[in-house]
Amino acid sequence: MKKQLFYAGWLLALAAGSFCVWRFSAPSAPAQKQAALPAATSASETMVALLNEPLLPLPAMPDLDPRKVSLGRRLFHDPRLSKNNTISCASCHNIQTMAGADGRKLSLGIEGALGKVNAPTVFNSGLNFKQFWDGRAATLEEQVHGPVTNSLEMGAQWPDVIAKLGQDADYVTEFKTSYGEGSITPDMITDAIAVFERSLVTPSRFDRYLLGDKTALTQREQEGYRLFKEHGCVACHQGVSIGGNMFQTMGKMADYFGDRGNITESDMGRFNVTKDDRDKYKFKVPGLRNVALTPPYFHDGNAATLEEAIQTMAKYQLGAAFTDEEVGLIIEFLKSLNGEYDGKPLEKSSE
Amino acid sequence: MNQRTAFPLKTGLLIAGIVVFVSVMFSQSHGADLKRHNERMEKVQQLKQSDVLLNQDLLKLRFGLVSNFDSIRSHMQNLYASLAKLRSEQSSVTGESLTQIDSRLARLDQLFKEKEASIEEFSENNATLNNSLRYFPTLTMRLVNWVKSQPASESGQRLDLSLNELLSKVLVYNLNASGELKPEIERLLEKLAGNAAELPQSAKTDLQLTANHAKTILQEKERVDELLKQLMAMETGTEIDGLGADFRAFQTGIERQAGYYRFGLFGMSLMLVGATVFILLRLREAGRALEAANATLEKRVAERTDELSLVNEQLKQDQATLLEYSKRVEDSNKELDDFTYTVSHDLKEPLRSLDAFAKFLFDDYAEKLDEEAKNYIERIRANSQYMKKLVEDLLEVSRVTKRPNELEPVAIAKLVDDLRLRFEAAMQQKHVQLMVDADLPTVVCDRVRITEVIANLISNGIKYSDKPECIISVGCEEAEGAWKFHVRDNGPGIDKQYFDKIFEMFQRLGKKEEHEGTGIGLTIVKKIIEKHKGRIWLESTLGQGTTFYFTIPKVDMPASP
Ligand code: HEC
Ligand code: HEC
Repeated sequence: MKKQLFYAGWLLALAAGSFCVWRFSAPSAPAQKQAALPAATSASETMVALLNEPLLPLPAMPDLDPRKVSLGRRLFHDPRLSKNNTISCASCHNIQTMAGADGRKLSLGIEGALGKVNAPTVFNSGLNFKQFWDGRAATLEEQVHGPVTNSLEMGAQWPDVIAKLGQDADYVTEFKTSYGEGSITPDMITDAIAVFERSLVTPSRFDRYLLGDKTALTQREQEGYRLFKEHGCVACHQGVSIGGNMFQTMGKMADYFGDRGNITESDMGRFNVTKDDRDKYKFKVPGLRNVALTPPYFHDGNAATLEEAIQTMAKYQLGAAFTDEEVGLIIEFLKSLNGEYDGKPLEKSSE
Repeated sequence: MNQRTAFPLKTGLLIAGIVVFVSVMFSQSHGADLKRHNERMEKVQQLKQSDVLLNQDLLKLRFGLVSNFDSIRSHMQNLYASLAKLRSEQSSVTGESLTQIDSRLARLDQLFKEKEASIEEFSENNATLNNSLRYFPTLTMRLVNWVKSQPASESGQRLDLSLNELLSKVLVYNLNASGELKPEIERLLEKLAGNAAELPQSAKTDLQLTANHAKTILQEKERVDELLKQLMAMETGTEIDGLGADFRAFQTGIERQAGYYRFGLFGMSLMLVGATVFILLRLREAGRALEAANATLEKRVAERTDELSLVNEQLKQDQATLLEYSKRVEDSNKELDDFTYTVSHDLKEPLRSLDAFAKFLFDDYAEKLDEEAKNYIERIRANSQYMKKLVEDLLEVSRVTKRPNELEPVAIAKLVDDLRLRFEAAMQQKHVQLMVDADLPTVVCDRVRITEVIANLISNGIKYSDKPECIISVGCEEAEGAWKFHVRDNGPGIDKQYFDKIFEMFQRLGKKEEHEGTGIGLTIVKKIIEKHKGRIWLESTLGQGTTFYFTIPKVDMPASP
């Protein structure tokens, strides 16, 4: 018996040994495989790039989980994300009637707290290279944390929010279907909202124009676009978002803040994040899609109309003065950037 | 037993050891996962590619070949993504390389952060530069057109020329790597500023703006080019290559190490194969040896069996012979007994008549015979009587052998008492005292014969007594299912060499003349005791006395015949 065991052991060892030898004795030389080149861009994109347009059409809608989008939409509109259940994201980013902004100079937060900066639109925010005027959030996920816990905005605490949402059976099941078992976490909430925000893209006539449909823009709009390029607006407002891809000093060619007066902490812009003196008065160049629908303008909401904003830009950013005609043409062009969401053109109710 | 349990334990340990050893070798011989390595290298390549594309786009951006920043942003994003992936890949790296790669990645991270900051600055300055570059020619052309629209004048012509010169110089300056045109442009700007005084307000502001943009271009171009140079000089490329080298070094290191283990494994497998073949051969050999041994064993067993049966046969024969022999002995004994009996019986009659006639002769012819004749007759009678006694004794011996015992309960005490009467006279004559134990038992035996035995022993004691005060004692005790009797005297004793002899026929101690008797008495005694399945022996010390012992097994009375 023990002898058999002994031989069995030997045979086992033998088998293992031979297996190893067979399997591993001839390793293929480390393949110096060349990394694949980045995926070729689509034909239309290539075409546009060849034409070297400073502005780019919207990319195809990203592939998003529809369940997460709808969950995010619910959360976005849910005031339970705020301390006293009065304010939702949509309070300051009204998608239906305010083109994703609030139409106020400075936004009104929880218990009437006055915000420090103007609320930008959430439409196309997914295309920004960073979030917020000062770029303090690198991603949308990071950004969502901001307003929920900001004492001037929603003033809530995550545990409270989760407790409130946990009582809603619909939420519980929706989170389960999207994120699997386990209780709701802040990360799930921010993720769902971020996914929803990424769905907020608004293709416009201008995109059709860029993609080759020269009839998509009227003559005057095309003229406005030409001026927009010629006057160098595209140096800052450029790319897919027509902005949103760099920081720029507000008041490049003239002293904007000196002229305006009453400098606040928020006016320090990027400096508040980096604490680098060179970053004082620098802001993320806002994207100009739907800009005609989101007055007032600038981080301080100081420009009530587009005319004003463009003249301010001309004076302080370009060191130029535009004629009313030029401004009018540029406005017409900017209006061609108003897009559609959910198959309907964005609106700003005029109240 | 201990030995048996210890052995499997050792074997078990050996096997376990081998298994552990082999599995360690096996796991070590894996080497670094090649797929993993390729993935890592791919990511490094991607990193490198993103970095190169980033640099390319930065250059293109500077010279207006790309007019938006989106590509820069996406390259930057890709860079960070690749870096993050490589960081998470780190877990697949071990040992010294880990720290090296770790610090390399940290350095790269730092470098990219710096690069990003520079790009940020670059993007701003470049935008401003581009802005002015777009705006400056427009403004200049507007001024030139305005000048052309004015009535021709010398100052207008000069302004026109200066503006054109400024335009061309600034544009060339922008494209020129060196800043050699800068002083000239500055001089031109001063000249133009001098001209401004004569101009109307709108032209003045335009000129002012134009000059501002020119100055911006002068300033920003320098900064942008510096930043660009800085960006291009950043060692991200070399660091990325270094990272690749680190990974490759790690892989080769692991591969080499794994190679050793593989070699070890290979060697081990060879050993195992050898050992197995060896064992198999040994097994076969052992099998054969076993077979051979078995065969010899069988043969030996067969041989032995043969031998044994032979011996058996012999033994059987021997036994038969023996049986035959003993039967013959028995037969001859019987014959002898028969013969003795017949002879004794037949001899008795003539002896009796011989004695009777001698008596008649002595009685009837007493007066006629002289003393001498009377003496002869006396002698004849004595001898014939002796002979008669001899014959009777012989007859008695055969009778003992032939006739079965007549068993009955015999009170030995009474028996000895009767004997005392019989020997009264003899005892008085030789001054012998007979002492009998009080508690002699009742024994199942042949009364006549046992009387004979005890009488014989007592008479022997009397016969050979030689002391002035002779004592003969008779006693009995129980011993192992038998009665053990003794008859003790304080006579002359018997030499040890005669202990057995005295039971043989015709053996007499002392001279025949000294003691009457046939020398058959003790033979008869022995026969009687043996007939009773008992035993007789003696103990004696010369000069002090002799004790005869005999046993009679206790038997129940046989069921009455
Ligand atoms: C009290 C009003 C208020 C509420 C409520 C609010 N926001 Fe905002 N939002 C703002 C303001 C003001 C800013 C600009 C802040 C800044 O840049 O410092 C902003 C910025 C943003 C941005 C950055 C856009 C860009 O272009 O940089 C996003 C995205 C955004 N909010 C999404 C949300 C989401 C999602 C919620 C709900 C969780 C929300 N906001 C709730 C006022 C609000
Ligand atoms: C040097 C860079 C630069 C140039 C050139 C530039 N802008 Fe801007 N633009 C900015 C910055 C920075 C802001 C945000 C300023 C702030 O919020 O304080 C901005 C804001 C705006 C806004 C307000 C958007 C909003 O949602 O609040 C409009 C409209 C605008 N620019 C239009 C233009 C036009 C039209 C031109 C060309 C005539 C132009 N800009 C040229 C940097 C620039």
